Amino acid sequence: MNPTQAVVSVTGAARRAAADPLHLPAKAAQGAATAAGGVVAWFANQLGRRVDLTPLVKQLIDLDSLIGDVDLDAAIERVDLVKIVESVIAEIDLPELIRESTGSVASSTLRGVRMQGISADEAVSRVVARLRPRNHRVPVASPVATAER
Amino acid sequence: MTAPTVSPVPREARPYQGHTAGLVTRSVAACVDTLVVVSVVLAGYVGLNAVVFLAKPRSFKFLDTHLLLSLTAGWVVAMLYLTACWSFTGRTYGAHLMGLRVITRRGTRPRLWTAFLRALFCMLVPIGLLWCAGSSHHRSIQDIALRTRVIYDWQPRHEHPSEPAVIPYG
Repeated sequence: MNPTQAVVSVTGAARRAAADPLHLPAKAAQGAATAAGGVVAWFANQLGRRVDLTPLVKQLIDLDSLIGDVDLDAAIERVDLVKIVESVIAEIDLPELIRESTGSVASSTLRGVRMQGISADEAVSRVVARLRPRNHRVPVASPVATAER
Repeated sequence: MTAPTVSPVPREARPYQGHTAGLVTRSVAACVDTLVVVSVVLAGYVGLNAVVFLAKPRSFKFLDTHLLLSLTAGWVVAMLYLTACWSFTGRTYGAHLMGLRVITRRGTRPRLWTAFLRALFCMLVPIGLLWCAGSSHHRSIQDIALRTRVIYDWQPRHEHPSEPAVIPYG
């Protein structure tokens, strides 16, 4: 809320108070508090934009003692560490790293044979699909293409 | 926050997990299984000869191999092997190598009875596997008859239900 909006808010509050004189003190106080809050927020916002508050905070507040009072154990308990670790492992592909570092020639050969087999299966499927009559053809969708979609 | 699940499956293979396997991978798995069965039969033959040798070392001669007997032994071993593997783990050794797994329509491991019937079907009509090349859902004749599916599943253990969708069987 900028000062113009605050003035409009105060004017509105005064108008409403005049229209309902029975509740004048309470409504006027509420309107004034809202307007004052808006003005303070606007000034704080402008101050934060123009002034570097970091050195001021460092000078005025003892951050070490503040952090020392924080119950980190309770905070960590609220975090689902298992999920975080799983997502990190999946992102860096830890199983692949382990395979590369410890895998033998036999396992990499086996993996190659399996992948070649899958490619050959797909090739056979494509050939068979082409040999079929046009009205009986079924589109051969590769799982890789489907996954990338 | 929805955490992504950590998967031991390589990134490039993840989109295929749970999809029905095609002819090539299944044929390779079947070839490996055939080798396993032949190895078991050969090991049995060698073991039998070893027993005979221990019993009569002086007059030892290798046992005669009758074609019919050998085929019957191989057939029985294959039946036992396939039934046990499919009912206990859902995958044979060949399927394990190729990252495949047999599941039922509900996405579960086949029961003993289903596994036995599937093994019987596979042994009686092995060429039924070829049907999966032409089928739109990669189903062999055995799969159609017993409502099973063979999926890509590189996970060491079956996570039920990992399939993207239950394909209707018509």
